[in-house]
Amino acid sequence: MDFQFANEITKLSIPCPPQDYKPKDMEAFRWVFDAIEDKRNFSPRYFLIPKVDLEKVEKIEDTNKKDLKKCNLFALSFFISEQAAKDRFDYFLQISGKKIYKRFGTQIAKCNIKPQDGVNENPNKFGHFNHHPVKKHEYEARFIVVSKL
Amino acid sequence: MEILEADRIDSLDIKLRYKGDLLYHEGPILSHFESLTQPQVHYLYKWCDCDEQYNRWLIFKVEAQKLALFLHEKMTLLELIKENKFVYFIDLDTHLNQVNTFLCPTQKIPTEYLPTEKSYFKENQYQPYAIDLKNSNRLTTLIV
Repeated sequence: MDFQFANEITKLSIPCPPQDYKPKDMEAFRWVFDAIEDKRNFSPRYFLIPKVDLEKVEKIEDTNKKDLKKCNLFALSFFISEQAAKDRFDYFLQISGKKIYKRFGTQIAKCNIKPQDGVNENPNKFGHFNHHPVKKHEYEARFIVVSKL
Repeated sequence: MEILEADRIDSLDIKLRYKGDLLYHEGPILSHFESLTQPQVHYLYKWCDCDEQYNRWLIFKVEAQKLALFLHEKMTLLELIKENKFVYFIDLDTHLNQVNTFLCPTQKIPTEYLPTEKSYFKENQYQPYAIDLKNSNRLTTLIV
């Protein structure tokens, strides 16, 4: 597959995306900010987190651990269902207060992802999974807002 | 960010050791620290706000028994915070420099920064570190 950040992820010491990530035909849900064109909506964390956090990753001595962390930073965060996305956010809202909207978004958007869109991690206990997209995913146009957070 | 009705102080007057993240999504949301000088005294860092420059954290003390009660769903996070007369706020810049530090009366915490009255521990939302902490002997023996 022609992954979106192939130049970066092929330089890593481990296979990235990880080999157990699989193409799937499924619905995916993601927290997004109001304006769908907001650059935070479909940028992987690698480009959003503070430089200092990247520096911390760079300081990890074990090369494989370091590169796995970097690999994860190039993925997009998805949920397997609207309910899983809502439950996770609602709990953060209960704990953190209303400013959590500034950090994670204000709405849930949905897309039917196809095997040719990229590869997916097995969902964890929160119903969350990482997704490594191909270059031409066009998610900005394909993700449709389905509910407010 | 909210304007705090709090006293600005030079730095935290407590020495803490990071233990682990309790809640995490693309970065920590609730983290556990211990006092370096009093190992039975715990502190929680709760993320509460951000802007383009800073992340703001609410820091508060938790007695070991109260932490155990929270982890066993017998107290809320809000109640843990309200056990304190004062809490700290710190603003960290993108280089994790502590730019602002405040000592704030608990009654003056902005409402937007407080957890809800339903802020009970929900095991299925927490990191493995939190589950290990809940089941650790040093805390389970404090539950009567």
